[in-house]
Amino acid sequence: MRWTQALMREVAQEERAELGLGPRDPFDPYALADAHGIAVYTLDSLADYELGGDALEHWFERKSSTWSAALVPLGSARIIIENDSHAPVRRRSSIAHELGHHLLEHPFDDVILGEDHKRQFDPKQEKQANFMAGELLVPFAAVTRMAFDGWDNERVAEAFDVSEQFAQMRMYGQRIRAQRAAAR
Amino acid sequence: MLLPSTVARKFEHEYGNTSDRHVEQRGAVGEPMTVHPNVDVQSLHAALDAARAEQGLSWRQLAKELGVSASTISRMANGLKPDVTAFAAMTTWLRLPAERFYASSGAAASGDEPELVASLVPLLRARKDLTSDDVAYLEEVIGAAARRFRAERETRSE
Repeated sequence: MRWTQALMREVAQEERAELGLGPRDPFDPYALADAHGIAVYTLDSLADYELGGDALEHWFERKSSTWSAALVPLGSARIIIENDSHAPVRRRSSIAHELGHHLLEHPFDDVILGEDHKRQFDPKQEKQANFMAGELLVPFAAVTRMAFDGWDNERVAEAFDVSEQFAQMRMYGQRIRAQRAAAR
Repeated sequence: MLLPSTVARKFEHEYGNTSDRHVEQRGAVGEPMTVHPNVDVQSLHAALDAARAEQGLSWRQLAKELGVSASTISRMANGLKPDVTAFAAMTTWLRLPAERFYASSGAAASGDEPELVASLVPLLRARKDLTSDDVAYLEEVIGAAARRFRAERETRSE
């Protein structure tokens, strides 16, 4: 399927609406995963299912920064495994990214390991999943309004439970538009 | 409405003409409607998958044709039953009898799980950005996740 930004935005809006969210409401990626019947497992929880200490140490310490989450197909089912050594805002963004792949029905040979391994992925699909994460977490309608209302990154981050870096990424384009409108 | 002709023909051959069969959609007034307890969700999902592929529909497009949310179909892919209204919409769209998707007692949720992890290993090994340690540890992680998934699915189906 050919995904335009407008179509992806529509999907994100549909999914947020299914959760009963308006444009200014913070999004809970775990709630959306649950609505789709997708279990989210923390790495730490897998110690109870024979995940060895070496593997935990590898992803928690030695290579912690390199792997955030994975969307994994098990038959027709989907699960998400997340690296819970990361900060909650990063985890929320990672889960939203994986859900983006799911919602856009990306084939699995390209998405199995999540956003940190994008070098080997179809860059278009990674961009699409990132776009979806942005629209799910901080929707465009809210971005536009907040840009024109002069919200700074800290305020956006707090309202939507995202990092300030994520807030900047979302707000940048619309802030420029708002500044140009104000200068006229 | 688009009809998944091949699927319908296949099952009409096996079960006869099904167009005048109906699914009970309404319970007593005010009662929550639940689907048959032994609905074989995997078979229903597979039939929908075959039909939508034949029609060139995405899952989301299929959901819109059925008048259900995309999450309803995702939940089925994850082994959860649709409600009775969604179930009726699906079997009607497939032009298949609802009974076709009633599993014999106790068989609905068990199914044969494919070798869940084995199919993922080649994908991991093909990744040139991963070290051999990364691949080995990811295989461990996915293996543990598959064990948890199986354990929880068994608990849920009991």
